[in-house]
Amino acid sequence: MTLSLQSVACEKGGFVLFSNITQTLTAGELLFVAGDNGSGKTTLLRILAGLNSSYEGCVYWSGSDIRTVWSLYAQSLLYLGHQPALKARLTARENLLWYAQCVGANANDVTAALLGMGLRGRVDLPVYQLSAGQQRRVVLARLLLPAHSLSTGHQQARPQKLWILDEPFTALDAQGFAAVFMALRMHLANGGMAVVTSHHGMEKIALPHRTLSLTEVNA
Amino acid sequence: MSAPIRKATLKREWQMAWRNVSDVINPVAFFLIVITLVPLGIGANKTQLAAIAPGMLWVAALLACLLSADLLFRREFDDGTLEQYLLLPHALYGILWIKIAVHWLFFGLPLVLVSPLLGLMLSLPSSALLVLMLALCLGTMSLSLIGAMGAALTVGLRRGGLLLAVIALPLYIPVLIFGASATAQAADGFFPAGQLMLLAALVLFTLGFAPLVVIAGLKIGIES
Repeated sequence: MTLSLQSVACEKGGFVLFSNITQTLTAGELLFVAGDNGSGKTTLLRILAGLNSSYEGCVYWSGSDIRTVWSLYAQSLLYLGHQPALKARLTARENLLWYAQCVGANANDVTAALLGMGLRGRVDLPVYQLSAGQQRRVVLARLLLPAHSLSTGHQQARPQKLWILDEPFTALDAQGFAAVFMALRMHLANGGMAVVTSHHGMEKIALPHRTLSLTEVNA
Repeated sequence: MSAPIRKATLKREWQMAWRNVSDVINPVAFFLIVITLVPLGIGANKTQLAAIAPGMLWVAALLACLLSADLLFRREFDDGTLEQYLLLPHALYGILWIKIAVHWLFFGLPLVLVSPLLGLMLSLPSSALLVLMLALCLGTMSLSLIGAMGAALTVGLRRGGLLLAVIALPLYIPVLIFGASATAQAADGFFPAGQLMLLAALVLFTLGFAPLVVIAGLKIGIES
């Protein structure tokens, strides 16, 4: 299972954001996308998540264009974007439960994931009562959910092989950072792949990774 | 394989509708207020009121639906949930269908339930009330589905409200014509079988293609 980008280019508002990006990501690899504000990190991640199709070049998933194997590809994908995708009036548990049921996890998994993110005592509060960092933790608790295959019904290797995380460490304290870091390490150790952006450097994240610098691509 | 997702989505939409019930019930309140004001504005002349009652009820229902449609995908778009929906291609159709159905339950159904009372306020003959309810029941289903199409097509725009009206209103007009005509005919003492069948046909027609238009519209909105 590989993700490969072949001369991907994208322009926005008449000027080129990035061009000629060629990368291949295989099982267990982490791609770190670096770049200044406005260098196109989020745009690149949205292209990889299939949410933006106005680009040139091709993105292949195990050799097939993601647009032709979209349904299969989308099931292998866990995308956490800028926006939290949480419902303010629902509790942390209710919010996460829906995502859990989409990947075949159950209510116990939800509790475990939320506690794993250090949300003890906050699980049944409406999300709008949580702080920004705590809301971020609820979003990231999705990384701690065990994913079961819905098609076969029994537990198997996590079908969400590819994580696309846009600034996952924003607004997190050291404890939240550690939990996400552990989840990421487990995911990679189990043969997963991840594409991560952050405008902070990767020095803090002691994981083997490759860096794609969009600022250099443009220079 | 998407059955658990559908079940979870139904539960979640239901919970959200109840937690936001003051917003959700707004269009119905609008409907109530408009119809309550009509006798005050026109005067309590029974024949005059009865003459305009069918048209008034339907115009108010139509505008109430327009008011509610804009909210259908707006929050989902703003908080990023819509992106997550699009990443569930095998369940997307079901999710959108459930969203529209729950929207109707909280907008169309209350409107149908209060309509006999409002019909009486406008001196509509009591024999026409059952037909009014039935026609509104069918009509609001179409209105919800058409509104969803308009909402999906305008969701990516910052100020899509007016454009939504421009897109949805022409499509609302057949519902308005047949609904008002059915109600008027019932007020005259006939059973409007033809109009009701046409309203039912409109529901089936919109039911068939609305979800496809909604999916296409949302994709455009997300990509823009």
